[in-house]
Amino acid sequence: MARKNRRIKKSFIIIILSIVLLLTIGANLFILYKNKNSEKESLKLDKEYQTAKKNLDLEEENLTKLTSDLDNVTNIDEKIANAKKEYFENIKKLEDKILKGESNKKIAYLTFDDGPYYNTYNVLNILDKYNVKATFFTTSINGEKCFDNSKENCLKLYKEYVKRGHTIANHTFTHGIFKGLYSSKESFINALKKQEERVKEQTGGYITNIVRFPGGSATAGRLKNSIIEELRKNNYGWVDWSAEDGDGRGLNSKEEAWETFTKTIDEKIEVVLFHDYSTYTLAILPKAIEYLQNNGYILLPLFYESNVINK
Amino acid sequence: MKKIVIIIIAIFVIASSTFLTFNIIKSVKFQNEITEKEKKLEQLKNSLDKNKEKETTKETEYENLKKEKNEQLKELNEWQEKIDELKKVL
Repeated sequence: MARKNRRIKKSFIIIILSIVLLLTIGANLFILYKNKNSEKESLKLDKEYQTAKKNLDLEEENLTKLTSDLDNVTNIDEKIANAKKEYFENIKKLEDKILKGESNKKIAYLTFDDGPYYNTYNVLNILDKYNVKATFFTTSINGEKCFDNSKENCLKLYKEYVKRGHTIANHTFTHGIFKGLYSSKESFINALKKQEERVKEQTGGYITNIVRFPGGSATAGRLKNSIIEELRKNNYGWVDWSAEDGDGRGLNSKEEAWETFTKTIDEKIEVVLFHDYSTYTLAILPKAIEYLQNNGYILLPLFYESNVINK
Repeated sequence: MKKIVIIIIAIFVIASSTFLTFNIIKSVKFQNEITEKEKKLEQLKNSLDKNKEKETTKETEYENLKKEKNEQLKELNEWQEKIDELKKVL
């Protein structure tokens, strides 16, 4: 009996242990299957994370660029002022190199005196065609109406100069060489200040401190040095010219203008004198620009810090 | 004989249980890892959404401002071009 009981007990143990074994094997298989899926899930999440991270980095890059673009547009006036400053600083560097013999480049500053005239529009259009910026020494001898077209308002041209990127300079309000301009240094400075106001008023704030004596500085005679002293005190710079086509002395033909012009171009840095009103100058202007460019000249507008401006 | 069978089965049971314990621990680790990764992914997606929202707002602001300051932008570009031209000869 006891033996039988022991045999039954052992069989029971075997059965129980077998069941437990099967259960643990089953559980293991289930867990292994689950872990495999979890591993796949984990790898999938890794990939998704990498993609999302890449997208975030791109978005941040875009956002940085957008912020910078927005900043540029918001502070556009400041950016323009800084760009202008940088531009003229670079011209000064080039001038310095040329004067030291460290560059074989040449510069020509085209200047137009006595405007604005109605003919100035034609001059501006030719300069636009060649993408050349020049300097206009303005006076108010015309008044509001253009001397060469009394139906037109010449004061509008001040804004055109600025809009088209040219330098406006001061040639005195009256250009009154024979009307007392050089009777005293005060009369000269007053005429200068009046023209300065005209420029500021017509352009909405453009300030010019570059001056040319009507007729050239020699015309001031005995007053020249005292006027120069006053100019320095008032932070004006002044400039004559080193080349011209003779249109200020009266020309008889465009051929004469061309001959004078080509004969006077020989320096590495030239300040070329033209006059807005001259139809002979207008006729040779395209050829003159091409001539200068073909001879290695870079055509630029004047600026106060230039070496050619006397201070 | 039955004793030997019992011992062998018992050894297998112990081995299987040990293996099962090891697999359960691994499974718990995986689950924790997945939860952590899901959390990080969610945070990343939230940041992405926030950035996209910021970008849309800034883009609208930028486009409006660009229209308003179109002429000045052209002027700035022209100055930049002039500077680049000059730098070539310096």
